[in-house]
Amino acid sequence: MIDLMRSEWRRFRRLALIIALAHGLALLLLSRMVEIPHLGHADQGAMLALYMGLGLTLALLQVGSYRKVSRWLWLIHRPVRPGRIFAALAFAALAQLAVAILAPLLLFLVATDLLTTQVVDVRHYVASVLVLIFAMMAWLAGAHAATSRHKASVAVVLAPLILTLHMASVWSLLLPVLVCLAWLAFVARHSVRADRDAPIARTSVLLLTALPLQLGLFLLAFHLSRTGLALVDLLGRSNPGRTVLATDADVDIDAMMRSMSQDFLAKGLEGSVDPRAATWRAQLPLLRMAGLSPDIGRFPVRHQFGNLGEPWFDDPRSIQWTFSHDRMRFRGRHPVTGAARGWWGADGISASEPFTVVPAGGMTRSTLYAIDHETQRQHDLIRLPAGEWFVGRPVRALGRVLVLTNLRVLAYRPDLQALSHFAPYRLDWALPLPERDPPPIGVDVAELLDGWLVSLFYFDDREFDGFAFLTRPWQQVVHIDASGQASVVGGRPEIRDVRVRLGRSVAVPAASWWVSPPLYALAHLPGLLNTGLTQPSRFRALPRVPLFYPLALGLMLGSVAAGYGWLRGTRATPSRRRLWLMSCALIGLPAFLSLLCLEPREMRS
Amino acid sequence: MRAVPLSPGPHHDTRPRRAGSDYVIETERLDLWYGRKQALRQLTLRIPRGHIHAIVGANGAGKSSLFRILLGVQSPHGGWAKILGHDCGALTEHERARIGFVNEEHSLPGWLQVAELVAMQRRLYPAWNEQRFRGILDHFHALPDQRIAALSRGERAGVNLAMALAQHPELLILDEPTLGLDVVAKRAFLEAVLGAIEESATTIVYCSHQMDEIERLADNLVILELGELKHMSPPDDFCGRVTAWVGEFAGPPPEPGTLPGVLQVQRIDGLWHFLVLDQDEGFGALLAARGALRHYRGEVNLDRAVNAFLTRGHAAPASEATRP
Repeated sequence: MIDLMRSEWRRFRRLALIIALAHGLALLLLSRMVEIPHLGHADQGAMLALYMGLGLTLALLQVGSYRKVSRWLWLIHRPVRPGRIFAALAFAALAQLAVAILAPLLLFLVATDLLTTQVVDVRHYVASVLVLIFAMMAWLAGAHAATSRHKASVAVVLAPLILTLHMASVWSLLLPVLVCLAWLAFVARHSVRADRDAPIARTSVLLLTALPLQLGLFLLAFHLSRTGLALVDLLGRSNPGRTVLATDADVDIDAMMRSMSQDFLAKGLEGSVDPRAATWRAQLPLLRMAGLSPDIGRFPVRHQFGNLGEPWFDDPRSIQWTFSHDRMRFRGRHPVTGAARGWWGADGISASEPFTVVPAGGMTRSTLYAIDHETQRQHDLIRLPAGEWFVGRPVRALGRVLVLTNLRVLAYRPDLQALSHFAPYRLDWALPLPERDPPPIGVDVAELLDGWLVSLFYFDDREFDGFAFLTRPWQQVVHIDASGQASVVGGRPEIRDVRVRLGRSVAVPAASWWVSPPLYALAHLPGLLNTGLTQPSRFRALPRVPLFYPLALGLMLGSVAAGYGWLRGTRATPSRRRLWLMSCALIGLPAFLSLLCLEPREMRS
Repeated sequence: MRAVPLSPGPHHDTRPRRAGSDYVIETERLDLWYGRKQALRQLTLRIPRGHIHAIVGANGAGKSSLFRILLGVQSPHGGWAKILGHDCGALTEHERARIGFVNEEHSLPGWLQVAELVAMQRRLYPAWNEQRFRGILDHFHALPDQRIAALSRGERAGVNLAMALAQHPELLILDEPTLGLDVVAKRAFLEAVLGAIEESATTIVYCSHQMDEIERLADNLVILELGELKHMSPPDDFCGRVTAWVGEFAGPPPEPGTLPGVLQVQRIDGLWHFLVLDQDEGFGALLAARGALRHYRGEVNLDRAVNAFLTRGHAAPASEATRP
């Protein structure tokens, strides 16, 4: 095994070294322009995709070169067990990926840590190891595809990604990532056998091979169908390319948005029995309005894999403040010279008190703070009670600071009687949300002479991705009087005039729960890792949409029938057939698709 | 031309045997399909231990498919196959150590030097015979520090064969190993094989289209056709079954279909040459009776005999040719 590993190492060592050199140079070049450890998560995601692409390419080059029978015989026909042959290939690949990916990354991090004032935390080092593991997962998926009878087997890589690629703490990710790595290694190891086309003999191996493939195929079906429907929707539009731009001279965007909000509120009052409603509707075009939305998807968590909170700048003093997850304080540095400028704690500059949670954009999960740039102190403006957190960015409008939390809509006003400009805001009024989970997707607030009108627009567009149109949008209009008392004055139980995504495709819903209820549940399982989300993953085992049930049943029966037809042409044993048919019945279409990949059919004349 | 009914040769034994018998290769009613094409048809074959056994057949006869099944990289759709008494589908590393394999592509890791590759194989095979390796490699001109990728095809074939024989396998499968080699390399290769067989008990199964090689090497000839076993015997026996008759006719010769055992008819320099199977002197008398002015029995070598055998039914009924 060692000899084969050495041989495989020698095979690609030059390439690995060249890539390592190019990688190091690219990091060096990039670091002249941006702070790589603090790139946004989208940029870092692109880098991860590149690294995984490298792993996949290596697998296709290395293991794929043995697909030809004569080369396969050279590899497999030797007095070494297939498991050891696989181990030799895998360890050689791991060494090559470590040289090409991990070594430059670690070298770069160490150099950045030692030679610059940039913040480099332990999470960055651990993230580099995670990156290597993800690249190795891609290699394993590629190796599995190269040694399987069906190239679609590469879809197994999607399963560990959906299960582990989350913006959680690097420490909490380690275990699931290693479990997924072991799982993929198990799958790939068992695909390295003399007869690659033969059906998998052991049931346990079959189950562990089929499950990630089914999950991958489920995700593919979901995304492909959703993209397809979006394309159909786009093609169906009369003017799909028209977008209002801020530079459009003939369009007053503020007026347009205000008009939309006013129209929406007016429609909510149409059916109102409140005697004041007609007056409010007449006043609406003259009223000032503000809008809130749940635009904060998540807050960063400590030691997070990927970055959410970006550095902030103290322009007058030329200080760039970057948060250190290790010290839980901001580290200051001159953005050009890199000279150190001290630390920023929970109270301000040079404060020794660390933050208790990771801040982002001038707020934490439950605190909005302001910075006194003169004294360089930090002051809490809003502090939410325990169990309540922001789901939208606070909006300064109508002389108030309007806040959407997971529980309420809040209106604060600055304390004009306080001596300091940075005194905590005083709560003006609070409106408990009629439905907390999920929060409304749009809140319109209009200021009346004697109070406020608040429109809450509920539209669950996340519960079933791609099925937004199947849940009922509804609206509630609330009046808040001068004393802060709230009363419902109007609303619409079901809104039909709102143009929603994919609205024309109701008859062909995108693949989701109904394609495979168990895999839908499994795909939602990793939501547990996402502790930073403002709206926790809301998994429902059974959907509320009636259309889904006959769809799921029909697809299940169709999969069983198709599976039965396919199995008739195979040499599967009766017990294996029963297992596959049960799998088709339980898991549905993805199980049937995996059956096509894993159970060869014999064609005979 | 009418197909000739064939009988298996004297070594064709289809009686079932127990595992662990003296056969290095045993197959029983082996079937293999590629889509709708059948590559092996009920192939029952038993190759005894020892000697060099040549397997010949036209392209698509099923030779390579048979080797794939024997080496366990393909499963048959029917029947069973054993190699060295073990189920081909479940060969362990110990059994693989007893089986050498050399194919026509000589697929070796091109990124290694000869010495590195040999060192690797040496550690892998406990029965490695360094003396034999050196002896065989001497026939070729591969240098230890040369990269495999830099070797000529003949040198690569030599390294491959030397390694395969140095492993001291009980069974060595050579699948068209001399394909693409020049005359010198081919000669060196054959000498190496012959030298090795003389000093060891390795059974060699040799697949080739080169009848001169078969004639020189093989103790036993196996003919496959369209996935079926058509003949198995020593080459001389097969040559003995095929006889050539030359006749001169005043008019047209008799229709081949009216003569027994005719494999091929050719007109060369005005004389009619008949290659016939399993016919004795009576065939000459038959020619005389059917109007031959004169007739005599000609020479048949293995190449001609096998070629006539494999192309029977494909050749024109009476093709015209000129003797070179």
